[in-house]
Amino acid sequence: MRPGSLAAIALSICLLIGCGQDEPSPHPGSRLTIALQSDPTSLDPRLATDAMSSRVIDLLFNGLFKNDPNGSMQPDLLESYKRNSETSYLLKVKEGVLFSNGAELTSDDVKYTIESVMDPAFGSRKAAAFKNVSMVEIMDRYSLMVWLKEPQASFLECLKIGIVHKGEAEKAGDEFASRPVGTGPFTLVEWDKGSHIVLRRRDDYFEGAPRIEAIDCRIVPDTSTRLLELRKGSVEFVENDIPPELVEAFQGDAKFKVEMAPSSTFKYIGINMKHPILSRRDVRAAMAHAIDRNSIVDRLLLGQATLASGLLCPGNPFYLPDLKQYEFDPALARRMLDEAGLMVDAEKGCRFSITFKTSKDERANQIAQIIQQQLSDVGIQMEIKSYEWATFYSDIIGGNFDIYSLTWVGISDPDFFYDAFNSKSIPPNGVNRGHYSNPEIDRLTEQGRIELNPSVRLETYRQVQEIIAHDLPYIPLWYPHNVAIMSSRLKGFELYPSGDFKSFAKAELLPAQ
Amino acid sequence: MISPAIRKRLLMFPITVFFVCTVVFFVIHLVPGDPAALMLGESAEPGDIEALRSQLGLDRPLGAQYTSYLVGLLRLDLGRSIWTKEPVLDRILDRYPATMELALFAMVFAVVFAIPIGILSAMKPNSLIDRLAMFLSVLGVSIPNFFLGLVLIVVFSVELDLLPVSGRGGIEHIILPAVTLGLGMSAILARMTRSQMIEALASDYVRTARAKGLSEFTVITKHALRNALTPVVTILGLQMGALLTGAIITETIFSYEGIGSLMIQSIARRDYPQVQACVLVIAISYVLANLFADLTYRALDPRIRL
Repeated sequence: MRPGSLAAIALSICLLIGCGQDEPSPHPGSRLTIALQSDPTSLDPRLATDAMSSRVIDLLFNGLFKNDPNGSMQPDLLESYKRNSETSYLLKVKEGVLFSNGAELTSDDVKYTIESVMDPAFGSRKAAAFKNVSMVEIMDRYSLMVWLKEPQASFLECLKIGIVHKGEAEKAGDEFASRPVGTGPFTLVEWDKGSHIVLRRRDDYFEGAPRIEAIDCRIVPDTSTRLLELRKGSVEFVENDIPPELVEAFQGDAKFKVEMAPSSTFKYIGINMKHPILSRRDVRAAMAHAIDRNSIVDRLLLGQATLASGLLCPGNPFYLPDLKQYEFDPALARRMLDEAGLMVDAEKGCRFSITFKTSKDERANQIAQIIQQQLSDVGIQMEIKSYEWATFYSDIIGGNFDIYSLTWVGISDPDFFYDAFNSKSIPPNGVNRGHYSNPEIDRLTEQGRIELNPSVRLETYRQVQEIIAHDLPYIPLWYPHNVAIMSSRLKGFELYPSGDFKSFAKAELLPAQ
Repeated sequence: MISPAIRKRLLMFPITVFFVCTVVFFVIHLVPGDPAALMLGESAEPGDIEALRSQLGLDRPLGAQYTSYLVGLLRLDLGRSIWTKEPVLDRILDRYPATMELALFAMVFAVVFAIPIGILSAMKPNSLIDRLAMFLSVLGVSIPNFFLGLVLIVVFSVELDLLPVSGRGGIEHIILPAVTLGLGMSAILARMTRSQMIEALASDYVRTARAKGLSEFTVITKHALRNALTPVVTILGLQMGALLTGAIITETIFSYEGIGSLMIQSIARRDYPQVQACVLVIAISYVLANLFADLTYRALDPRIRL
């Protein structure tokens, strides 16, 4: 082969690729381009569990219920609902709601959605939420009755799942995840996997057509690149995973608008209650007093978080504003550790040593280093081990840790305390990964899940939260803020605690100047 | 027509690929992390993870999984992605051309940029041009891709508004990633070309060519360069591997959906069949690139008989 051949091949490829062109944009003013951190795994609401899938699914589907901007549940597709008995609910969907294929929503679609999620052969990752359902019975075209095996206070929570069109879902099978048909404000036009997703508004949306003509979701995995796209103006909206110092860089610029609001994400330090030293409540309390969360939030997160006292975030109906907070007090922490008989060992130079596990995330590691310093000030030696996510996660669910830091995202019903702290929820049965066991919590969390009287339930979970705050199976850290940076031409976007995109249905994109 | 040396290489080809596949199979299966647990997420129920593992065949002994992987491989069946349930080959066919495009452009950029610079430097060693070129080449080798990529985006996309920031599309989308990926390689090539050319220009056959009264242009391109290029082509073949690994970072920065970013995502998700398929095609490409380099020497230097 002559040396010139390679260049010739390359040149011909240049010419071939050069033929690609930009997509036409018929209504330049109303086409919104947003950047997503990763490609959704599935656009079937019955399957998807990751954040990016849920964001897009929220624009394509409606559930029977939805969260309002304060994070409390409101009927969405439901006209009315009623608890008929302790174990049955009568649900009536709105009349005249159309799917994106033009068919009307009926009780049959709701029944199908619930039953397909429950069908083991379908392999839904959300089957667990519906395991208490015994039967779904159609009453008429718009009404249905759901029967439960036993009373469940948090039942309505699972009805936030997007309702799929029965006929289309049956016909498409696995393909439904890439050809979804829902009742949402937008419909899927194109999904070029790994690259972008194009949604178009539905003029027949039951709550009125959105004002934005189309949403182009581009997948831009690198954080810096995402922000540079925004800076250039080729993307008009990014949300979360933004380094706090870069948020400030956009704040002074009139071309951009920065929205920030507390999220329902809870960041905490999980503790292995089987650890000989960490199993002692006084030691955990001393550690909580040794960590200066205020300075981490102020200096590292630049104030973009609110200190947490427990799992439930402010705005949750069960949130307790006066829950015990552990103030930063290293002298007290030292005294408590002294009283616990854990003196500084002259040879080792510390009272005891533990390992802190975290993911490879850069910010998480910076936080870990500060906590390491703060704990060493009171004589606790902490070694940081950071792992790639899948390895870290497998250690955490396997109970293979002293302490670790993680987040819970979007906890809304307090029944979650059963999953997190009931002794029956120790893995693999639940997410009580620290092996916390307290008969009082067991009793209260079991009582709370079947208690249908709201005021009694409120009282039950007040007790649960107080015991957990005292016992400290978790050291609560903070609720990070949701942060969205958008073009100042985008009007009407509302940042929900869950960070979802529902308000794009009502937002508007003004034409460029 | 096929010489014994070439035949030997062709025979080694499947063996090399087999070893790579085997090592990767065991490494990816033995590192901690369970795709079923990752997929089901926090809301998984006790039986769910076990059920999914058995549905995916992950509960079988590793040896049995390996055997069925090999059997599939022989039938050219690479399996289906654990996450998307799509055949992994579909995704590879979708992404591979993008990476090849990027690697080729990077290589073309490197060659077009490096060889003239190497020649110019060699013609006047220690001149200003030479010093500047060699300084730039040190810089080129030392700047990490993730940094260079961002600098290029800031300058050419955001400030000068000449090129798109990221994504895939027309020719304008490939320029910055190709430069990012190719610069390190071009630095190495420029140095290599320079030293080879200095040697060639001092040789007897160049003196003879000049004595024959050939023009300086002919001397350099026909006599000196042709001899200087053989080692450069070797480097080019070996650097193909560096291009494919460099593509992993470059693709992520530029949201350029090629095989590198697909592999990173699949490793994070422990999507075993997808990872294995990615490694398979990368290994094949690497071996082929080296084979191609060997054949190119023969074209450049008839004394080499492969």
